[in-house]
Amino acid sequence: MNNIPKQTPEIFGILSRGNFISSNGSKGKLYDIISHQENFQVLKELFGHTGYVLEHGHNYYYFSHTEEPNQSIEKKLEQFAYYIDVMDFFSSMDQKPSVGTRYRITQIAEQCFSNERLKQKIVALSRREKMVDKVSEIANDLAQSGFFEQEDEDTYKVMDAIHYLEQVITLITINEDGE
Amino acid sequence: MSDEKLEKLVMYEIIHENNNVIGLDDRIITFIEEFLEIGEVTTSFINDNIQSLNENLKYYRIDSNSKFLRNIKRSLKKISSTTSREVMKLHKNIDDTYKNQDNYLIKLQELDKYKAKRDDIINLIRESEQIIFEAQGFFNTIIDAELNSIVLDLRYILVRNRDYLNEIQSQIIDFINRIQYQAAIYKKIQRLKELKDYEELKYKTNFIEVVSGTNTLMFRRRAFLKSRLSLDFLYSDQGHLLTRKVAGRLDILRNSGRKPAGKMVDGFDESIHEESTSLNIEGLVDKFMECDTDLFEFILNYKFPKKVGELTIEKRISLYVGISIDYDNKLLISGKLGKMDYVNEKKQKLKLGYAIIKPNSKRSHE
Repeated sequence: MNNIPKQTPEIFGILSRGNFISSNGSKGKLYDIISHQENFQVLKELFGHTGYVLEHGHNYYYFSHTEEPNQSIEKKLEQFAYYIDVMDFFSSMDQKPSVGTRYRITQIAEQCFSNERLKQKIVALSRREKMVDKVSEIANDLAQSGFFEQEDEDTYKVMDAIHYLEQVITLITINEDGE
Repeated sequence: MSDEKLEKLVMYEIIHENNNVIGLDDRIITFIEEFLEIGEVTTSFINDNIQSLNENLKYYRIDSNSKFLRNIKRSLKKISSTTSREVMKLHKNIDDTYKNQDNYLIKLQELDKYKAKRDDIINLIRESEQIIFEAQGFFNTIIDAELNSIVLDLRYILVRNRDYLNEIQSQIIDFINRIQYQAAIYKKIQRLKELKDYEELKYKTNFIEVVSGTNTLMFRRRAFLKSRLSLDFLYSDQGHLLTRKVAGRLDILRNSGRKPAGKMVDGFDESIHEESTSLNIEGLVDKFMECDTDLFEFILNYKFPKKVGELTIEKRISLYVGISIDYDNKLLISGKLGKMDYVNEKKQKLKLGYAIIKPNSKRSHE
């Protein structure tokens, strides 16, 4: 195999944990490396031997895997249901969670105090006591999955990988049956 | 920085201060932006150069003064450099707006603005091409090698930038569509959440099929890859340091003033090795089978090879016991006892009784 980039272990480390590599995050450098010339093909073939498939979304990369243990389906459903809640929370704010949006924890917390609807949503999402802690718990959750990235103590930025959630949501069809 | 220095900079109009916020002077910012090819996209530079090209062409037709020719060349060159620069800036700004502008309404408007700018630049490129096309006959009458190469160069650059702009156009449209499409997604998320709260997600949507169909790694429990420490690494100097560090943290070494033992004598392991191989018990038993003495006497008087060294009487006795156990099927234990006297290391006289064991010649021939 020719010219495997030297950052390959780092790339594998991130992706194999189920994380995303987005072009607008601090890992943007790795995104550029994967996109560089034939690297995507080279890496896709290389990682193919490990059972993971390197996938390309709009400005982000991630791993998928082919064989599927059955017991995980339930877990997946649960987890995605959680993302619906979280995304619903962020979509209900003035600032929408689109790529590049920056959220400040304290600001969100303030909004939750003044907006009863948001307040109800966040209370349902997190059991932490303080409002600020509730918000940062959720933001951290999203950051851990690679949809957000923490820029400093208070600020989170929305990554390109958010498109992934949008993509799944688009795939779901709602059957309104004459409502 | 001291206040004095700051005041000096303010005096020279390099920086200015406003409500405790210090900023660079506008002229310097403009210079830096231009130098780094960043900042807002503007079409006025290209426009100015086109105007000046037009004027100078007109003047040169009236009066073929080399001064005007020089200006023509200058304008042509500048059109090519400013066009390229603005196109690059446009591309950078679009990308940056899409990825980093945090308000989605502003983002949409900014992208719309860049779309209009892109159209402006395309028009200016067309205009430049038109001028060059019309003036081509005129340029041909001027015998000037440099002018020809500048015109050729410009044509090439204009075509390239036009291609580039076409690409940018499709990119902007793609971005705008994505953003508008996101607005629809936000609505859909809220609707899904509603259904979820009514527990209707399963019945009214294909949520289960879609989500179970996704095979992203994200949904799998995060199993970290575990690896073992490399033994080769632990043997290395770094490995030694590391183990000491860990041991220190675990407080394992707290009572040990012990130092590592000195270096082992070379070949210490070989000597052990030798003894165990040179005591060929199997061979000893074979030899015994051919004799007529009893086993105890045989072993007591056997002359072992030199490399084994002198065997003490205790060692010989334990050999006797060992053989009588391990090879009992070849031996004939008569039931009689023999006796002997011997002096041990502490100079005590002892009497020793032993079983008389003879080779079992019958069995060994079977």
